[in-house]
Amino acid sequence: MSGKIVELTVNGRTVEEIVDPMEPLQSVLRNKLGNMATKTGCKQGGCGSCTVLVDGEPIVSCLLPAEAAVGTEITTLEGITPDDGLAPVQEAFRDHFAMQCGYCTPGMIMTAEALLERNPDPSRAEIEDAISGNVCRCTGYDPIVDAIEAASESMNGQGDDGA
Amino acid sequence: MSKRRGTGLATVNYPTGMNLGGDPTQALIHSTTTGNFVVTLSSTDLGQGLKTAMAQIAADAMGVPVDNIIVDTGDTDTGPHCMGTFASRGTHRAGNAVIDAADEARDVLMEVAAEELEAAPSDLEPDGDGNIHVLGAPDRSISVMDAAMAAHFEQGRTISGRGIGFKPKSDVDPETGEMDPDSTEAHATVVTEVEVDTETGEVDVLTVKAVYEIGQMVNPALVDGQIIGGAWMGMAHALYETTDPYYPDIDHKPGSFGEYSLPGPSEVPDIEYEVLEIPSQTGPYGVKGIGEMSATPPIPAIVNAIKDAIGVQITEIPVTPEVVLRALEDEKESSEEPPVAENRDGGDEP
Amino acid sequence: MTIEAYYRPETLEEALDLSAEYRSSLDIISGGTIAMPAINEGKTFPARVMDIRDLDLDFVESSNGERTLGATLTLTGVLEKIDEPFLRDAARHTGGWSIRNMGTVGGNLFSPPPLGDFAVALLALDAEIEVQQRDEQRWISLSEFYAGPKSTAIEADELVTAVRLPPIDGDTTYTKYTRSQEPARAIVTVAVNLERQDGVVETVRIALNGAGPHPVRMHEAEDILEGERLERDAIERAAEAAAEGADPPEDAIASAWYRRKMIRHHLSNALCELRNQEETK
Repeated sequence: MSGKIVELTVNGRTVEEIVDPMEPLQSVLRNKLGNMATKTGCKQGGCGSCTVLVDGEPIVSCLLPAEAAVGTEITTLEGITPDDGLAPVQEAFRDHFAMQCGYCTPGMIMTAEALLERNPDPSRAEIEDAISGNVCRCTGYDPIVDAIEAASESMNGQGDDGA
Repeated sequence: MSKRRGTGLATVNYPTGMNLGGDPTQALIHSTTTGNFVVTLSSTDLGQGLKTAMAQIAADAMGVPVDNIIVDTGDTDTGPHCMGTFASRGTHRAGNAVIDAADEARDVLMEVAAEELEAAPSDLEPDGDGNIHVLGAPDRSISVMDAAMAAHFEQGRTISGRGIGFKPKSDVDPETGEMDPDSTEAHATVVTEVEVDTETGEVDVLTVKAVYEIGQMVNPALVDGQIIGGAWMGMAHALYETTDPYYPDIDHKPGSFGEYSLPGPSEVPDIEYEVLEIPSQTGPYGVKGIGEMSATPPIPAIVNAIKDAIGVQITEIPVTPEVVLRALEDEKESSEEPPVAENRDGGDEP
Repeated sequence: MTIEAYYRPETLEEALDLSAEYRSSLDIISGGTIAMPAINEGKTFPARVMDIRDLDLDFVESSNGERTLGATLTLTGVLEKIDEPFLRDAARHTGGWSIRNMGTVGGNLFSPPPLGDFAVALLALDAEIEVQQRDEQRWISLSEFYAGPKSTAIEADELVTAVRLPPIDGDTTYTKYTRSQEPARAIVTVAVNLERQDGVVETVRIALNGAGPHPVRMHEAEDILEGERLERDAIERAAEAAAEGADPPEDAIASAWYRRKMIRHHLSNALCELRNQEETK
């Protein structure tokens, strides 16, 4: 295996790491750089649990060769979590109990972040559409859609009843 | 008209726990030096929130704040015995075990505090906010943390407790066939409305309305999570999920997530439900199990609603669009045959 | 077995040189959504992989109504850069959001059935494919590109670099029928481009996904419609011919039996929709 040292920019920090040819970004983020929120899921792009943002766009990091991410800005859940608490989307997921086992949660939240960045006031249908590539096996999705709706309201200063 | 609507109902009587060769769950509790209490279990939290419910129960039984409870379900090799998180038995069995263990640990905690406060243990009461008071003497109290420190460093004691939630094996009476296989029973009735497209065979679940009788709720948010998630899962089992599609070739098994049919977020029906809390005799605080029961009754309710919509009783799941179309074709063929004397259930077809 | 090398050329010349040198021992990826799952699963072990995402082939060019789409334009890129509703519909229904951010126009041509829900729209528009090798450039029609099951008309040392679409005349309709919302894969996808003169069908292209080993044109159904008005009888005969002529794949999502029924149903619906469009004009 001909490993190669590459420079990646993860959550604003530039790091060097040895990667193998065609090693997925997911594996580098989680197994080598310790960004444990980037879950190892189906490795086929089918579950969304490894979703991260590359230059602000949600992608499934299991399908991106790590070397192809050189020169991009990679954001994982760790990157959107403030040092002293939670981001509004994270707060909303907690308040609406939008997770049970939690496996899909980091990927869901990254997709939700990207959605609200582009569309600060999405309809329920737009939320459902945005997260349709992120599989959740526990919640029945409704609490997740509720949480993203609430996050949108709280980010737009409309407050959230937390119910 | 290619779209037909129907309503279906299913009602369930769901056992909590199983008649194994005896059905135990054990719990251990001990204090750390910081006044926290570790509840050790082998019962697994797979997302249903067992650790949260056990922390609540332990806090209540110990008389300490829930933030001071650490639930450790790490390892079935080294932890106390649990038969497993199944049969909707988690909160019931582990809850009883935790109360049992907490009772023993609380007795020790009160003995330790009594010695520090120079009072009788029976005169002490924890306030649930982290302090232990002498009844009738509001100025005489000790914090749980100080009591734990005193136990560890001055009195040389462990504050700990052992507990078990246990259902003995029930043998069948050879004469009557009678037995007592479960610990309590929860109940539910689920009504669904569906719309069936008779040209594509597709079934759209419009609403799920349910009443769940589940004993005392320990945590309503967890119950809500189970019911909403369970309704979706029930719909998925009724209409979508199978690892064995009925096509003849092994190659047709789903090989990836993309080939495994599941409803997505936009297929979730409107779900409404009520909970009735009728306490059980055996569960902690009157708890019954809700877990599995949330996913099972939607399945027959949906299949019955399909029958109401198209007049055909389907006897396999998942009811894929192909199953519906084939059932409609079979029905049409048999109704075109010369009439035979047959007592047909329902009589929906002319 | 291990993958020896991952190449990420920055010029087309470099890429074509690598193609010429390594030929079939070089796998090509652009978005990675087809090759990576197989590699991650250990189903394929290409000796070398060339990633063409840096070749600046993510362009859209328009002139005189003709559009040329670069091979590495992502499906999200289609949605950002193209206003045409038919193409947007097709891009929109190809994968979930993150897959659309990665999957490309060129890659979609190589999707195994029943994927390829963007390609099926291109087929209905009679697209042409630009194919390049070191010393030669050629255009072939998308119909020619699909040579058979798991086989294309592209040689081992060639690269697909662009897709050219003629001006879109007449009416179009696109339907992807799935069990659940995308990214669920297609049971059938129907893409139709139809031109009428005084209500009579002059030309029609019917392309289906989920009806064969790759997106396919239904020529028999087209012949039935040409020269006819879009009336119930002609529509039914065309839909029937398509269902009979199809050779649908059978997988975990649907049987061939069911796909055939849905070809008939959804093609008939699509044609009715086009008839109604005409009536409301």
